[in-house]
Amino acid sequence: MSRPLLDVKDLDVRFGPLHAVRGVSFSVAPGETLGVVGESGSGKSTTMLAVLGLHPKRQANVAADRLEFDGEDLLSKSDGQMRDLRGRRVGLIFQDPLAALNPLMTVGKQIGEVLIRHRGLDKQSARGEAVKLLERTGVPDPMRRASQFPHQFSGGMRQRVMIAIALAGRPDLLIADEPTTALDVTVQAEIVRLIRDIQQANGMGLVWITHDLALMARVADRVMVMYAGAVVEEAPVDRLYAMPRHPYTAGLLGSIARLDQPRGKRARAIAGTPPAMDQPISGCAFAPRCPVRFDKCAAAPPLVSLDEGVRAACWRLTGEQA
Amino acid sequence: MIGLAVPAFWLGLMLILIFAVTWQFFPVSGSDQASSLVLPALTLSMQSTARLCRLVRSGMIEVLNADFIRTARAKGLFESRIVWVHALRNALLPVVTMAGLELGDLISSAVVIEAIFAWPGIGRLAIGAVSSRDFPLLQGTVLVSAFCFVAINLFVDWLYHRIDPRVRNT
Repeated sequence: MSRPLLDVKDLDVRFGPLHAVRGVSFSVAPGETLGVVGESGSGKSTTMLAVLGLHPKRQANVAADRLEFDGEDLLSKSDGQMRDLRGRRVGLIFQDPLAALNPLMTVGKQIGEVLIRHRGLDKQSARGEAVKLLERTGVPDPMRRASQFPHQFSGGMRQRVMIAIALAGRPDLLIADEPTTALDVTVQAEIVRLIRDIQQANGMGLVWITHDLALMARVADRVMVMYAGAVVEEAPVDRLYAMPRHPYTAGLLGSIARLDQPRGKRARAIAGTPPAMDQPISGCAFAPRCPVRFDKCAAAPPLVSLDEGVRAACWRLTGEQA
Repeated sequence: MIGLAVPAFWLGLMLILIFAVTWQFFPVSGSDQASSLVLPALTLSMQSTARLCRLVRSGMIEVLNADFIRTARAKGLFESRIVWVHALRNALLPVVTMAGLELGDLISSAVVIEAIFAWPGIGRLAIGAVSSRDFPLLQGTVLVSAFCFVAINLFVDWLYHRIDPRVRNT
């Protein structure tokens, strides 16, 4: 594997007493799709926003052993250098495209802004380029659409606009934070295809955050499972679905409702709730809900490398027995 | 907050005392030169200004937490553009509505100011008309102020229409 595009080691994010991200390490290679799954509040989005320096400095305390993008250390960069990076080299797509677009600005302008800022175009050529970007993301009649406002677009079309904005700087890395959660299923499929096509066309690295495991199986090359602000398992996508190692991953996969199961058999939920993030967690964070916990779980399990790029944090996998 | 708490008649008197009597920057009263507009205008607008400032402030605080501001940051835009272009216009929507109502208020509260600064205005004219039982004059003043009020509101609606595209085709 060549040098990773994004390389993060031991990332920590705290908001006052709230310890939202606890020692997360991962990397993304060019052209690769890393899927990030976990329930709400597990620190998926927080991790990615921290990478881009998008948490307000006064509220968030971000620390990491290593935080590199394309070989450059992001933690030592100034605010200005981070601004040059965002929108230009890293694109971001958010979950709710209506809230994420400025309601008082035409979509053409909102796309053109990025072009003016990062590619030095003047207003006129930025508009032309914005129309081309809309066309590329599959918005019909882009000339007319560019002068319309976000409320005049449907959900799927709005997300296409968001994608056009994210692509405007020709980024090397695209971070998609639940890009299809707010959309209905048919539109979801179109958006997934669009992002995949674009990724294949220009070889971007892609980080795809979602809590939809079925979707994840289709988009990701590698999947990272997060629980309570930490990585519990990371594996190539087919290995993860074929043989989940961590009991939490197994629980997540077991909780998917399936059509091919006998009738009357209900999807199994994982009992209990995730731990409160404003208190220190001793031992394995998942232990209170874990069906296979044993006395060793009182200590925090290390993230151990198993075979073929699989990493998991569970004492059961280290050969320890009760 | 001080602007909100101070009553206009007292503020007017204090301004006269400081700027007209002690320092003699502006005339005490009357309407014979442009500079005699300054003190009454200041007194008249103080409360509205304070109210509107608070509204802009709370609006900005709210808007700066919105998702689309995060998008703007994710685009790598400069902070000045984020604040002035993306946030301020959104924060101004309630301010415009409020400003229209405030302008209406100004017409009615002008009576006191006119009295303090001996300004021959429509408020004093109306009071004069009441005390001398000049019915047609009173009707005239009411009509003129009502017309102003309607015109201001019409203007505000038009302004709203200009700022917010969402109200255009609903």
